[in-house]
Amino acid sequence: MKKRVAVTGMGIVSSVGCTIEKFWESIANGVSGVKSISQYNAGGLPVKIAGEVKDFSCNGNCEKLYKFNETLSIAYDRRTLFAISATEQALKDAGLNENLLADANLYLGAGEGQNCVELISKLLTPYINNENYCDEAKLFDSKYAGEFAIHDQMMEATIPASLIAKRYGICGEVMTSLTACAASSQAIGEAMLRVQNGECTVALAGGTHTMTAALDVIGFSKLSALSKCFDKPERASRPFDLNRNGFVLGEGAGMLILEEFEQAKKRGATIYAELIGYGASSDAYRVTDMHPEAIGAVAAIESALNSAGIQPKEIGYVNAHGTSTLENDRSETKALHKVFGKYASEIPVSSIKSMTGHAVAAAGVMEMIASILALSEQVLPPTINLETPDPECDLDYVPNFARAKNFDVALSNSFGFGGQNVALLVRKGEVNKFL
Amino acid sequence: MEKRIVITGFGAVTPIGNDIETFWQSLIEARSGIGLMHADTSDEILPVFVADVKNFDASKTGLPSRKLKLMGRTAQLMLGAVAEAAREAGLDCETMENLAERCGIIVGVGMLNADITEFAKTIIAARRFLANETDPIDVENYSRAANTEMFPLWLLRHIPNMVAAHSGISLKSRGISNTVMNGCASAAFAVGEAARIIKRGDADVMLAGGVDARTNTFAVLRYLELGWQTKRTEDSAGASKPFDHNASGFVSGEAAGVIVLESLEHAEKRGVRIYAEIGSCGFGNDAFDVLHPEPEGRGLTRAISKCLSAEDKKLPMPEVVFSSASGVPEYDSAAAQALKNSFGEFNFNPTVTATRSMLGHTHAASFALDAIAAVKSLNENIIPPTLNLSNPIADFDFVTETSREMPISSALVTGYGIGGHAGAVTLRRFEQ
Repeated sequence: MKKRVAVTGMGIVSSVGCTIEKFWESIANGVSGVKSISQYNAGGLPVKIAGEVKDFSCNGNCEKLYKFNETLSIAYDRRTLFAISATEQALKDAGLNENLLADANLYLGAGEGQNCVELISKLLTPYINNENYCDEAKLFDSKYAGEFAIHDQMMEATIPASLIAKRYGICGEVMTSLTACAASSQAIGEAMLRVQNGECTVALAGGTHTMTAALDVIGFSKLSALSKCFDKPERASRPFDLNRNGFVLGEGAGMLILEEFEQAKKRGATIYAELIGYGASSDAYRVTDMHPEAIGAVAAIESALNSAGIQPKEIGYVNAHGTSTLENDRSETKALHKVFGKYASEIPVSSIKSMTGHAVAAAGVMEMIASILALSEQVLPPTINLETPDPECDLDYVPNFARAKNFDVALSNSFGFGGQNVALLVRKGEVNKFL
Repeated sequence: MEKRIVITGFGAVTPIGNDIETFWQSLIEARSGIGLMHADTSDEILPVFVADVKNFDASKTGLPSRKLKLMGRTAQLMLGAVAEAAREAGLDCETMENLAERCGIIVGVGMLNADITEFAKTIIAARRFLANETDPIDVENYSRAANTEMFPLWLLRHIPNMVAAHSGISLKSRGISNTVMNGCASAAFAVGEAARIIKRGDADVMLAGGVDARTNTFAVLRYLELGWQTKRTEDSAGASKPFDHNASGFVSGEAAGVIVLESLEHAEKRGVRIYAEIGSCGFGNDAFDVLHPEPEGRGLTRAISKCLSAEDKKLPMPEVVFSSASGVPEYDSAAAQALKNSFGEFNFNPTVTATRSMLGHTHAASFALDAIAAVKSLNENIIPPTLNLSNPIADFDFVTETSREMPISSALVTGYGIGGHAGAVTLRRFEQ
């Protein structure tokens, strides 16, 4: 017998706000977090904008330095601090005790940390001659070797989850999965199933990623994936608009506390929403393009509907993957047509990436949080910058302004680079207007 | 009635052989895969040992070089292993056409280090933007250079889930795909995920395994500096000493390994050979310092206890343990404690072996290689030895020096390492 899965806590760090309240206030009012890059000098980059997290301070008595041994230590990187902050918020919100945490599972969709180009340059420079050759065997003697070693080790994707496990005493299964842009949605889906199947009664699920460093921007820009309209940064991310020309990199973290429904009720926890469906698939088509007929996306959404026992017409809102690339928005629209048929035009769809930018591995959890807030507030966040409709994107995208709507079930889509597709279904909880 | 899950194929590209048969023969003949990192050593360049894959020809996967160019070493090694596993399991084009959505892949993978050659090119170009040659390179001038100098599609080589994406494309599998990054235990978690997916009915066939490529300069430099890689400079075959008092660190390696998991019902319907059955899985975390083990091996104790407790009590205990010990003293000691603690509960003393004495530490791939070795052991009743073990840190019945013939009906394979991640899986001889 499948157990029901409640969401009893939420935390977020995003370009539009570092608390749940601020995040909702921004997305409900169409406020963009996309600005000129300010963490470092972006003068040499082909794209100079991103949805960076601003005004962030790690709350709680968070350690900020990892000490490996007597000689090597390193400051926690941004993605780790973001993840800890989101977890702290979510756990405080849920009010879980230590015993419940000790047996909990943690499932994080987390990216790798950022390369430090200054450090690598310092390390390599003395060993490079001008014939594109680096005398690698001598690098082992560099005085920067230790600094590089601990930095490189702490960039591993598993680090944020492991540090969270330590901080909160989570001794159950701790997972880091990195399925690119679908990672945190997949984490939420797999964590939901662990609670449904009785493997654990509490699971922390979410994601963190900071792909806003220089090398990330260059990498994606070379794949022609990024928007180049950066004279007006806040207008660059324009999902479903005819004049969209790529996505905008973002960053942040989000965490959900998933809990077995009866246990949550018994301990009097606030039930924000109920997770009811998860579907995942892959395209097996090309590593950089979605399948033109969106077969993978359709399979994921249909599998989510089946797992929840829900009819397409019961969906009241779709939180789209909506990246603002020409291709994604068209194939996602196609997928929704295929799944919803005659109901497609009646179901509002919006993309908060128009405001947050694309937080890659953390995008899915942010969008799940937006979906949960939309359910409890009965308000749909808008797709901003949707000025000129694309004839091939012909759904109701809630353009530019939030809209009130009574509805019970939301679908959240995430489609990852490499052809990985995830769909999640969430039902309204017992909270009305909790903000 | 819970679904039974069996293993119907496997593939491997390893430091001791680029296919299953060569790998297995090397293991039972106790051949080490460890060699010198730099062919020429001198007073300036001391010998450093690595366990690298030899003579691997990615073009044998049938892919054109323009496609291989988009892949990192991890993706290429994995494609080699996936191709063999698909062949072994009879997952040909026709079979895959019917399976499609019912087949998926879960890959455990580690971070692929930055490419020094790409960086070097960029640094040389960045120097042109410096006012003085001795000025440090900063983000701005580096970006300016990288934007024109770096291989345009380098990001595709480094995005971790590209390994699973390329594998899925080569197989034409459209089911669930996932990429697990849990350090040295990644492949254990990948197998656990795959088993769950079949159990809950979301797939009939799942490929699961791991890959890592850590014999490049940045990776080895990292491990030397952190003190995890041995600094021994003599006797390559004697360098890796899991469970030995004189262990001084692992030898970093590279490999890919994958097994094919399938529901028994589906395997019988296809009429394919069944190599073994997946028993139970257990997982845990140390919840301790991320780069040091909890001294009692708390996470691994939990994982093994959970795994053994979930086993059918009528079945015998696993006679042999394929241990994660890699020659890093603090991790070996925690792993030994965990075995003692968990098997102690059941009053049972298993035989123990550690293949990393021959394979080096292949990180995210290591558990997959042990799982494959365990399946072969179950089929052939031979346990590969732990080399270089003359002063054991614990009093288990270790298989040392040469392989041992003994009847085996069940094996426990464990994964444990950085991040405190631990996983344990039992594999059983298949019986109706």
